[in-house]
Amino acid sequence: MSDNKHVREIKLLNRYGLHVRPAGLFAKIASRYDAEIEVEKDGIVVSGKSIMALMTLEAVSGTILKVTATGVQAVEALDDLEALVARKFDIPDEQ
Amino acid sequence: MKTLSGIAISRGFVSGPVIIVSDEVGSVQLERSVAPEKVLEEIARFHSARRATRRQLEDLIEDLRLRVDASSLDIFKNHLVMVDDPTLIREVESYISNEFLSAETSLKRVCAKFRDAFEKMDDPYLRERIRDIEDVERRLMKQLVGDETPPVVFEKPSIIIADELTPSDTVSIPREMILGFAMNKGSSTSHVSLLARSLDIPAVVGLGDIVSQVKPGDIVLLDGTHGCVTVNPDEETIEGFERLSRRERELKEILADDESRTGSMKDGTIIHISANVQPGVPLECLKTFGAHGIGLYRSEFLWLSREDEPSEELQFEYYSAAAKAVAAMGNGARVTFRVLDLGGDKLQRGAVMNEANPFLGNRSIRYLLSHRDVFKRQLRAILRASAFGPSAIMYPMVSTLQELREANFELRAIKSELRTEGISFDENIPVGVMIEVPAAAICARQFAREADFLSIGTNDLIQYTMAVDRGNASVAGLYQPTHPAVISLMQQTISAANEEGISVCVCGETASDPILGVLWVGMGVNELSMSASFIPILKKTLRELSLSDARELAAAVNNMGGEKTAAAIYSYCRDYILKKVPQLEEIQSFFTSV
Repeated sequence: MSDNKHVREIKLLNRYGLHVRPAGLFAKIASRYDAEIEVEKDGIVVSGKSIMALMTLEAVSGTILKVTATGVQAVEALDDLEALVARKFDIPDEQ
Repeated sequence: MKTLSGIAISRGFVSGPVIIVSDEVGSVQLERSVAPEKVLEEIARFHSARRATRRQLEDLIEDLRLRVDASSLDIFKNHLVMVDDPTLIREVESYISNEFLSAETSLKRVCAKFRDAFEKMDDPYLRERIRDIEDVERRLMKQLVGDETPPVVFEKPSIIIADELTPSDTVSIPREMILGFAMNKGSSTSHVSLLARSLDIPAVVGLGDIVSQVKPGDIVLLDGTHGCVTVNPDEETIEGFERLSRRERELKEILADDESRTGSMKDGTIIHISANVQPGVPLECLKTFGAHGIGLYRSEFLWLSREDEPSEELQFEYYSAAAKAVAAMGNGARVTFRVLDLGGDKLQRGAVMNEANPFLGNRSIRYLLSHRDVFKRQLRAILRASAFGPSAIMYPMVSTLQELREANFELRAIKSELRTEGISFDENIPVGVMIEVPAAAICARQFAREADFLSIGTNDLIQYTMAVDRGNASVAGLYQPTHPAVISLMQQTISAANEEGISVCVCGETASDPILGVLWVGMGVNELSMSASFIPILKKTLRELSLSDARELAAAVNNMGGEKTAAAIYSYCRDYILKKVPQLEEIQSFFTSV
């Protein structure tokens, strides 16, 4: 099933974009799934499981991230990540 | 003498000797290489440094748990995630095995690459986050190098001067050695600022070049209220500073001068002033700020800080701690637990937001009544906690009587379940309704007949009455606490409670504004609940007024009808109160900035 590849565009809605806390949550959730996860912004692609690499994207609020998941749990991972971003990472001050 | 100005991030006046903390990472032997046959050993050394760092951070988090708030704690939890970052690990390993560089050199190279990426950023908030990576880099480096050189020795309480402290540095300096922080860089959103406020340490950041302006032995005046720092001040400046500092202390004492924990007015009327508290906040703050008890316990934070529903046991642990804390305070203090106040979309992991309008959607009590298992577990935890101290339950976002009755039905069921199991709880735990929806305010009398108390959540009541999202800057001006419609709904609610002989509380942010707090008291409120730090100012204001003053104000406002604008009503209230409590203006200038 290595061909199980899915792509989704996800818009960042929280106030400060992909800073430490959101990137940490994103990486933590991505790491739970049996899937390779890549996040792309302006042609730069980084691992979705890496908090540090995600932070380097300089993804501010409103940025549309292209998230590609490949592997057995690709769809589940994307569902979970999309919901996390939609919930504005559950950060009370950034709703 | 030299005065620098920067950004005031944590208020207070302090003076004292300086100590300069440099953020150099020891004396790292740069560009050290390893023999090809030692590559695996070197990689193993890097991983053991990671493990040691992980342990160190875990200990730190444990140690800080009760000392700082949840967002400050999160800083270090994320550092823990960084220690296991796959990109970091892969790149360090690759430098070691492909270029035969030492672990230290490799780590430096990798972090330098991150630094380059961050330096190119335009967004100032995101650019600043490199500090977290550097903080983790430093921890790892110290483990690798062996950390032989002990850092600065703190001998006497000093003002800490630095280019910019990392969060780790901030919490590693013994609290009793810190008078204040003055830093070259930083902003009000940097992590150090968050920590300084959380630990109540006066601080000024963004000073540009304080580090090169001071040398060991210098004396510095730091004004965290206005954001300036004076190096080697002359007599006159010291005098001026000391006047301000003395005045601040005096005002603090005036505010603290409070024999009883209840808020009494000039004529002896008692108004309970309680604190809004979220799980995890150190409960000593209740005592520090003279709170009567907990008027609003925001249980939803237990959900927000984790991905799954908190177990009944975990909830019980937090709730019973709060119940014990108020029991220890005595004096009739109690904790009012608000059941889960969140939208369904924010709770269920994996569930994509499918509500077109979440603020009008399946949230709070609506969510709980459609997820009864979650509701029941929370009620069990609250009831069990009620055996440990005076407690109350309140339901948020109620709009119909049916909801109140159904919630009470579940409560009765849980009570009999606990009885059967022989678990003790407070049989007569009071149950209240939050009035946040205009429909509930208009029908307040019916609610007052079936509930033990009402509590007005002004944030939502204003938002739903004015149909305005105050987070939306283009319409935020319509968020008007003194709009005649809001006042009228509040008055209806308060009068209904008064006439039915039950207590009524205001627990929104408006309670923390002394002007509005007095108005609500005049309208008939018995309790006000707010963030603890606002309590002393409100108590002081109430002490200077009698109930008849507050009632006179409320009567005047009620008589204005709908003719006046919200701003005119507010400034009328302000003028009225300042005339009777002239000191309030000065107190606010000292304690409500930042």
